[in-house]
Formats: sequence, structure tokens, C-alpha cells
Amino acid sequence: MGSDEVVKKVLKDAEYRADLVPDWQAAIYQESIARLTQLKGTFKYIVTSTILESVGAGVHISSTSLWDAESDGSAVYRFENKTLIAFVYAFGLAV
Amino acid sequence: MGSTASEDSATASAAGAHQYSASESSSVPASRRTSTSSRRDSFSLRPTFMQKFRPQVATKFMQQIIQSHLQSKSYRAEEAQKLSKTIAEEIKSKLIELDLGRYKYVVNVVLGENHGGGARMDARCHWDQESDGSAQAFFTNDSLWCAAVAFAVFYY
Repeated sequence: MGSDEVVKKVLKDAEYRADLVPDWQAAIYQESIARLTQLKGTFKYIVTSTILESVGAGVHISSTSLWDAESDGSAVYRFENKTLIAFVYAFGLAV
Repeated sequence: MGSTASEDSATASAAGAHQYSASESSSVPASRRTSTSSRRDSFSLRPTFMQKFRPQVATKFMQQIIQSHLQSKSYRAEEAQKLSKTIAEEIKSKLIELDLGRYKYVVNVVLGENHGGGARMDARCHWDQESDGSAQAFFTNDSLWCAAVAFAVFYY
């Protein structure tokens, strides 16, 4: 999925700064949703991003869904560099 | 054989005569047919107020679930994965208990160790604002933090 390119482009050499996080997230959403809506089919999309400062802390993300297994799906991308960790989830639910 | 034109089609049957079968055909007379099928075929594109997902209700029980699981816990790596999954599954079962028949749910739970680092979790959705919704809950203590978000998407 294109989410890895999108995240890499936005966060490539970024250093964690709390004031920049909302802007990064907005950039990720804008591109992700633009790409997703160009895909075939009528879907509703949810894009979730979690950006954390990398301070040696452990983190776990779990996701569970009630949906139609034949038509709906999700993709997750994890990005890490020296100062930050980012998880981006994209969910597509058929209408 | 009675020629019965369906209510949808506007064309008269080939045999010409009957637009509404009344006599020898075995089908239900038009008047009765219309009323029952309109009840059966009624289809709403938006949830009514009672069928709608209400975020406040979900937020309340999500907060309770997280708090009951994590109240006095400290972060332990082996346990964290299972714990986050348990919390997510429990939230999902509670959402199903709401009995909103036409909703699909997605639940995300993030469980992190608290080392004082910054974190931000966000979401953007491309959906129908009138029928879909989301709810979130957050909990933190000295050793861990937990954020849960649930999305409810109406299925037409």
C-alpha cells in the first residue's frame, strides 16, 4: 500500500518535536486519503496515526474489528528513526 | 396464467389485458401486495435516532473497561501485548452488545510504557458524518498509558 511511501516522505529526517507532530499527521492524512480515494470501489476510509517520542519505552498496539471479511481490510505501517516512532493504520470499509 | 405486472415495471404485460391481476391468477391482489412489499422493502439510507451510534455511551464504557484493566497495573512487556488485545476485544464485545444492527466497528488500543516521552494519536476519516462516529478513552498512571479509540461505520 502507498502508506509506507507517504509516511517515509513526511517523516524522513524528522526529529521529534511536539509542536510539529500535528502538522506531520495532517500531511500523512492528506496524502493517504487522497491516494485511498483514488482506489477502485466505494469505501469509507479511516486513517489513524500514532507518533511517539523514542525514549526507550515499550509500546503495543492492538486492533480488532467487526466487519465483512470479504470486502473490508486494513493495512498498518511502522516507521522508526532515532527520535520517533510512528504507526499508521489505514482501514477500508465497504459501503 | 395470470399476467401480473410488478409494481415497479410500467409496461403492460404482453397479453395486454391485465395490469393488476385480480381474478384467476394465484398471486396476491395488487392492493395487498403493495402494502406488504412496501413494509418489507423499506430501506433507509441513514440511521434513525434510536439506531444511531452515540459516542457518549461508548466513551463511558470504554473508560470503564480501560480503568478496570489497568487501574493498579505496571507496564510489563510480556503482559502488554495480551493486555492490549484483551482490552480491544472487550470493547468490541461491548459495542456489539449495543445492538446497533447496521454498524461495523473498528477498535484500536495503544498501550505504552510511561517514560515521560511525548505521544500523539490522531485519526482522520473519510465517511458519512451523519451516520458514522467515533469514541475514545484515555488512561495513564506512573508506569503506563493507554489510549483506545473505536470507530462505528454505518453499513448501507
